Amino acid sequence: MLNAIFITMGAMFISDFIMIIVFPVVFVVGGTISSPLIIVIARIIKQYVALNYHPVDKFYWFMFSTMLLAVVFLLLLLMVLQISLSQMDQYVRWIIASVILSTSLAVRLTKSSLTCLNIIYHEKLMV
Amino acid sequence: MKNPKLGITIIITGAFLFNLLFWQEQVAINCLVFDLFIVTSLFCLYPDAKNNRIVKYLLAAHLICIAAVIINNTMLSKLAMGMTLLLFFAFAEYSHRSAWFAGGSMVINFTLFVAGFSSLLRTSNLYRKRNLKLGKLIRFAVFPLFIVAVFFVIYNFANNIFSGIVADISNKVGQFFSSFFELISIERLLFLLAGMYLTGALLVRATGNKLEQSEAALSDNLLRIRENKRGINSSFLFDIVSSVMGRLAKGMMALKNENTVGLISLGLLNLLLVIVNTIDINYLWFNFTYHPGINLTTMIHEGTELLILSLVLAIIVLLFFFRGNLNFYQRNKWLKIGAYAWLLQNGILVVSVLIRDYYYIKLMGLAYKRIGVLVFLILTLTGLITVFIKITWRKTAYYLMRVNAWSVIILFVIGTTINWDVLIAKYNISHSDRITLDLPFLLTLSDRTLPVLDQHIDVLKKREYELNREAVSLGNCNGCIEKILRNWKDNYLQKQQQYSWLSWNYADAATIKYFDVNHNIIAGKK
Repeated sequence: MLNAIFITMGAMFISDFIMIIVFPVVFVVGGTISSPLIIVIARIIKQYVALNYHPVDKFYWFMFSTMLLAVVFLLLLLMVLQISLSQMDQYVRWIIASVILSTSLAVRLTKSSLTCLNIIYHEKLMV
Repeated sequence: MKNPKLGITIIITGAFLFNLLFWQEQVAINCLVFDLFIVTSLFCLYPDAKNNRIVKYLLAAHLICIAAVIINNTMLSKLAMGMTLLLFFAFAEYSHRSAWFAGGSMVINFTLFVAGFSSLLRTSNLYRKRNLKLGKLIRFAVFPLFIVAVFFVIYNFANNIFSGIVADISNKVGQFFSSFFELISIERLLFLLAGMYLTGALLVRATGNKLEQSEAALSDNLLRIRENKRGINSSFLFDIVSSVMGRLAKGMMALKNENTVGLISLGLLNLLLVIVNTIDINYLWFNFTYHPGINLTTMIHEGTELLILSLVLAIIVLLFFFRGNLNFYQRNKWLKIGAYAWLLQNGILVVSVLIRDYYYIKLMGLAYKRIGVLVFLILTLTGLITVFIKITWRKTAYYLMRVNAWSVIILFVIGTTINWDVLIAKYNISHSDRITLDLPFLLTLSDRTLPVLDQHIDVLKKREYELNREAVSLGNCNGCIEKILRNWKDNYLQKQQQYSWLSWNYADAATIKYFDVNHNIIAGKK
């Protein structure tokens, strides 16, 4: 949803017609297309809890990994759709920036859950 | 890292230095400057590394590669320079013996750099956490943002004046960002971050790296392990053996049965290889004469690939039989003799492949793949010798992997000292009287071969004429080799003008100087 909001705000600078449809389209299509990412993110979370670092350091690592994953996924998607970056030169910065920003905000929202998960994992190890 | 503040300062300095040295430049003398900085930084942060013998050897190898980059500036020298740099850092930061594990540690370093850097920031006290309550702010903002976005779109679509104001604001914001990006290029900013990541990942040691502990548990010498008498063994290889041999793979007689299977296998394989080697020795070693009816590609090219595969498989077969307690079995004398015979025969096979490659080079000239086969044969020969050592002195597979990795690194470093493209061009042109000159291939070689091609323009023109008569054209025109080379030269010189002294290397300097002082055909007849 955050992604959809940012892409909509980015699209406001493109044209009036796209503006009205871009939000629901991004919300539905984006959600469907990026759903396989859950598998990869689950793997990253497993790594996150097992890392031998302070929870704060681990969180920044998780945030960076997720942002990288989102950008790589976006670039792969563009490649699969045979859209070159030069072809959409004027939009690409907005799209990548919105993906990075929304992913980082989304991860920030999950910080307390991740911290709890980390505590549970380490308590289990102690038992 | 003992001094986090120093670490952070070095990483930030490294990022700016990387940006200054490599932005829109090619890897050349600039890598020497960056290397001086990063190697000095390493010894400042990890002073104990100076006492490590492997680190000293790797530093020497790395310096050879740097020299090769500055003199030859080939892709191979750049790759080897990167590889030795990574290994040098890995051995300096961790206690490893094998290049495989050291490589793995560097992968971990690169993966966990963000966590490591955050840890440095936290422990250095440079960064004080401020209670911004960002999470709370985001949670409050999501829903209003969503509603505002929707209504914003609707009002913008419905009200022309509002739409005009939005367009005005968006234009001004757009202008601000475009002037901002003119001042600070986003690409350059990303390049700076890449430099920071590279410097940091090289210097910040990952915590909790289990590879160090894993390697510490491994030994070069094989130890006899008493297996459970009931034959319960859970290894993957044991599963394969037991699925074929059934009950014979278990119990008191398991080792004897395995020895018998090994003897039969090696006996049959030796017999098979004797036949193949006899044919090769008789036909290829002593009685080979080339005549146009022979399909060289099938005989030499494809044959070589299959023989290389069989050599690799041979090493795997021996590793399988000598993986465990069969090494300590008292009646393994004949199995060992069979293995030695098999190794010797594979050595003969290496010579056969070498002769095939020799004929191919003699008749068709030098090319990357043909040189690659020679390199591979040296590595295979080293592999066979190390397998011999493993069987005789009861070494582990870890030893085999470790020693062979070092042989690859040594060969890689030696390979950087030669400018292969120039060697190929010189060899092929100087032997053009007896080999078929592959002119399209010569035109794909590096820019540094231009002087060689220019010096032998008559040979090239003659070959082009022959190709044109066979209805083969270079660059969609006949008799235009001079034009192609002149365009190539012009593009090359134009590209070189864009670089500063940071991209200086001997190979390019010599090529530019050649075109400055010479009056040859593609130099434009000054």
